[in-house]
Amino acid sequence: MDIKKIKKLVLLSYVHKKLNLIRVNKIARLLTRKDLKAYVKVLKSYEKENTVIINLPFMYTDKKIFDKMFRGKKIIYKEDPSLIAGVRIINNDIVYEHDLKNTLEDIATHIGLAYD
Amino acid sequence: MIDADTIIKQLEERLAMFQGSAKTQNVGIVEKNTDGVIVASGLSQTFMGELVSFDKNKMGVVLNLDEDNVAILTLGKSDDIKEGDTVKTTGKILSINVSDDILGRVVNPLGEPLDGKSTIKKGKDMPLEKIAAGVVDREPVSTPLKTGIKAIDALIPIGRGQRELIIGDRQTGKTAIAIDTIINQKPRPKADQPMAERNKKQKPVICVYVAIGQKQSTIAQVIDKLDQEGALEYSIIVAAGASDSPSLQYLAPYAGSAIAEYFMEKGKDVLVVYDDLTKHAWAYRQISLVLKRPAGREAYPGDIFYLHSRLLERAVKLNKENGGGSITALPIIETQANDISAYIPTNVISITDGQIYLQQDLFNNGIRPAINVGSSVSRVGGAAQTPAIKSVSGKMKLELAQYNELAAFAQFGSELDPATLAQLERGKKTIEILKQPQYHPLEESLEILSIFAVANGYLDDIKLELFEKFETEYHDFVKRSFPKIIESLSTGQKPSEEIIKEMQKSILDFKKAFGA
Repeated sequence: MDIKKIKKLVLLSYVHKKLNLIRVNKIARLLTRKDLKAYVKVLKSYEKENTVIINLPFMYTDKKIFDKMFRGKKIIYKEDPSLIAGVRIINNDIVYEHDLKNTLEDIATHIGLAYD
Repeated sequence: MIDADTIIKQLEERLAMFQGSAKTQNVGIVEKNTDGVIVASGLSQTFMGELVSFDKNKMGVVLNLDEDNVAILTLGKSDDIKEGDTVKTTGKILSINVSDDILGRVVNPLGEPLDGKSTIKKGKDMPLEKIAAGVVDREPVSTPLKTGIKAIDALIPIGRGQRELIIGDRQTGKTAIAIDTIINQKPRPKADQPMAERNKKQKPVICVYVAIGQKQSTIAQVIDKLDQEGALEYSIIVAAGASDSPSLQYLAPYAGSAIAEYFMEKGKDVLVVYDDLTKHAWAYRQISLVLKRPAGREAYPGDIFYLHSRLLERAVKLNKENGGGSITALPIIETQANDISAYIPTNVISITDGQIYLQQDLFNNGIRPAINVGSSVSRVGGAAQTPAIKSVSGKMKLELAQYNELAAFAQFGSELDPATLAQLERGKKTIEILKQPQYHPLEESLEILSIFAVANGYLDDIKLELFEKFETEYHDFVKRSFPKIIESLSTGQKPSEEIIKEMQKSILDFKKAFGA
């Protein structure tokens, strides 16, 4: 089975943007081992595409902002005190760095490169 | 004096107002690592040729963009890059740090020193891949690049900004020609006043020697020789040896070109030797096969021509508005059993502005440099030849062509008339005078003296075995007794009647002293 058909099956596994266990089991029964492996891989990447991880130094923030920003996506909040201040958002393969830790690291790298 | 509390307070205020701009990064996950080629998922916003970074300070370049993944060529060792590692885009293209500090150094294609000396001082980041200068920025090749090799300077002249291929089997003296050319760029001693004046007029040439896929011992020999001859101070060696990864071997010529462009942008003339492009093509073939790109003739990928054409197109002579700098390229190609019609040789022959063809049988017959004059050509160098050497070499070309034709007939052993015999003899003498030992490049004035002597029949009565001795002693004699000739020929101008008479007199005088 080619990858396009597998992708179609992955889309069919969702009902109202939620993974449906009955449909998944039905599809999985019909697939060969190789196709099942590809199906799991695509399913994982689809899940990843629809998940946003938000790292915060402490859980103070009004989370409604993020709900609005990433409507329709599953949002996971994680506490990371090493950020010092700001926020880091991981949206699939794009990372938005808006934290003090990253800024300080950038300054250190810049100084290292400029005055080596 | 501000106390620590105040500083901390100020920092805290800044922290409260902290509003840095968000940095966006595109990340991916390593899926596969095959011989230095990484396949990663994610990285949806990366672009071709972008520099990406792995954990542990490893870097790579994006080479393939597929629907679900990208293929990345790692720079340096990649053994410790594992499945599941993260990879980030940098938004930069691959570049090399170049400053004047790089002169006399041995570096790898990433600009890291290999000679155990200090790191190269921060200069300009030169991109490895760059579109060559367009037609508007260029001017025709008009200045000679003297190799110091009589056969080349007289018959296959090279101009600054030209691309001249050196092609031949293994062990025929390809690298020797390139090394001699580098050595010949050394400014002449100041004690010799006319030479010093001439060197002021002609810009010195910076040399870049790119070693691709060679044995470390061979590279070490080249470095040692250049150092011995004092040529290392105006040279840069870019080395990607046989034990280096194919990625470094693939990038080496582009790094050499990027270094050359740094100096060219400063208005300087640069010579780049790519030793050799056959191994470069092998490295690229290896990478392409791992990337699963469709294989074509001899399993090379479809873009093997573009690989070399985009590299050699960067050889340029810029016009005065753009600084007037130049890059002369001497690519080297190794053939198998003199087969110049193989895939890579024909490709590079068609890209370059001529070729110097070296033959194994000539080499074995003691003709060194073993240049096959008939198959060698320089398409643009003639325009760059000085009137001085042009005035003597024109006659020699014709004589050599006639000799080659007659020599083929003479093989049948039939009786020949005296005129033909004389022509054959002259041909032999011409070939003899073009012989030159390795690492002994000659000044143009001395080259002219030798060629003038043989082309005008002054050496007809000299035995072939005495030629080398005769030539060396004659050069010393002219330098000592006829400095006016050297001074006049060094200007590059066509010799006047008076100088020609002086040259004739010098030969006759020397022949008497030589006892010929």
